[in-house]
Amino acid sequence: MHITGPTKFTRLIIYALLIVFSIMMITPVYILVKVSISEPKEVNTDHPTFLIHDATLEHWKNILLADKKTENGMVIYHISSDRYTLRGVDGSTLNLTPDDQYTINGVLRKIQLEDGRSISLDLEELSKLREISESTKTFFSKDIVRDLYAPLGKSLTVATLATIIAILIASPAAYVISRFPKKIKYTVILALLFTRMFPDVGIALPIATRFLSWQLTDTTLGLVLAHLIPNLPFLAWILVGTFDVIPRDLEKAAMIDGANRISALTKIVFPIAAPGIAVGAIFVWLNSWNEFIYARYLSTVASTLPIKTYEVITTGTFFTAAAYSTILTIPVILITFFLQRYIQSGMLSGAVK
Amino acid sequence: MSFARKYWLEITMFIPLVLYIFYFTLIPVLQTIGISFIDQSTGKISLINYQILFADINFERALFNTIFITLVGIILQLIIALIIALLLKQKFAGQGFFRTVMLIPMGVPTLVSGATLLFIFGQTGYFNELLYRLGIIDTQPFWLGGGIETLFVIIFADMWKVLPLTILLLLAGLESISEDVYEAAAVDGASKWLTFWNITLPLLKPSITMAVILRAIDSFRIFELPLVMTGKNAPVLSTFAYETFRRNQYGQSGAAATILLGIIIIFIIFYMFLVERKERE
Repeated sequence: MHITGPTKFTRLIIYALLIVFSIMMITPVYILVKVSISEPKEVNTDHPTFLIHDATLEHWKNILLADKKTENGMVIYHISSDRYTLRGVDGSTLNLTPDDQYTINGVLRKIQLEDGRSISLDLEELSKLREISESTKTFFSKDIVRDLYAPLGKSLTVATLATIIAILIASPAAYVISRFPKKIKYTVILALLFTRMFPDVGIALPIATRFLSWQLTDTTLGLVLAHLIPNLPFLAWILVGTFDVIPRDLEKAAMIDGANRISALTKIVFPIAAPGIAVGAIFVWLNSWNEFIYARYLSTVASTLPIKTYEVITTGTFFTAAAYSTILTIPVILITFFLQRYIQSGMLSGAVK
Repeated sequence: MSFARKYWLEITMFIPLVLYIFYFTLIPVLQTIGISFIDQSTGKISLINYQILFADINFERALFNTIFITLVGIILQLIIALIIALLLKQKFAGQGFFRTVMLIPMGVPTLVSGATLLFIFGQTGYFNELLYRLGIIDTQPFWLGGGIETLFVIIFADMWKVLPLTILLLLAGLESISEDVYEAAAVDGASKWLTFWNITLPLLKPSITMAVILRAIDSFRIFELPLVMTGKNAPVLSTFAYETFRRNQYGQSGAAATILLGIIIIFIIFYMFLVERKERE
């Protein structure tokens, strides 16, 4: 019996739906890149433009070339009444009218005052401002020092070290698990999965206090140790599958030929498993590159790139936020596409957050 | 002794992983549960931390937000992912292209997806601009103030980020269903809808269960998105635990994390129970 393919009409519907969903998938990425190369006037307005009219590389130059750049960030929520008086640190008074303000998304918004001065408000102050019509609170300007390369370097170091250690610990263990009797094997795999249920915030709390007393807060070693927590079970779990498909007979044959067990492993088994280990390792690297919660618990200053990016998103301008976000995204998106065919559903469950 | 001598190599290879998980995962989790039952000021065992939490309006909101985001989010994600997976399963030109496009959000870190959806749903963001140009609104509503609309924005952000994963899980399930089953159904003259309802869905159940459980675990633990998109406007359990940790209220932080763990375990047990019971019927 021959099953007919989709008719012309249903095919049309399929394409229409797929295009709608594709637009949904692409738009945020487009907006991100667009904002990072937009002229401020296209974004800092009540009516942002959807298309790129005047592209500029100014924001990129600012964060890539300026080693340390000081930016006066400032931060205001939408204010509905007509006028606010803000008193600077030096006692001078600044007037704000709704015209000089622009709202930047979300929680924190920025304003550049006409004389180049700036103010900053935190959330509580913002909500107070909304409630009362005039505020005489003194606001201190806050200089935000931007520095891309230190966090970038730290992220690269931490991710690479975490990956190497993860391979050293998880791949031998995964081999052993794959050679367990079936029943024990599935119990162990289930136990590995079970660790995923624990909330990161629950693990990070005692880890943070423990690392504080070990003086590991704000250190690379501390972050590496923390990033191994979710990644070791993850890597071990996906590598069990890799070792599963390597026949035991291969090792036995090697040992009959006179190799001892260690050289049978290092010369036969692990080289065969190498491509699988490499793919798993790349996912571990990505997880560590993206990791946010442990880094936040273990840092008092901006340390890794995600933490820095978060800081820029909440206190910097739109454009630096978009540019930092893009930098954080580049390795992830590249790797995701090159490894597309290796991304199987099982592996996915832990990968690429 | 002979066991240790025979398997010394396996033991050496396996033990570091076990020790690491034991020392850096299991012990901390138990410590967190322990901390939550200890009164920090007196050092005695008590329920004070839980009492404080349940008297705290922010905690109640965090609890509600977490559960709402997860339950509503999972239902929406599953429906939309299933639709896309069914579309992608059809044979048509450009299939590979669309499959790749659907993977895009996977290449975007969660933190970044929060930032860019902030650009979109902010007050002068692109979503408001779109509504304005379509003539639906003339003021600019603020979507991220913490109300129910904020939760839906977070649900959308979370969905955008994880759709590829859910789609791939379901697509793998769909593709494992043999064509013969469909042919048999067609011979019997079953309509498309009946075929979907009586054949595809039941056979897809293992994939759906997998997707629901994995998604529920991650969604209950949601952290970056609410933090980046709303600051403290829409607390969830994870961000609440972090805030109390930053204020050195370790007991309350531990209690919030323990409650979160409890919710995850209860959800999984409850879901498994439901699925199992249905299967027996």
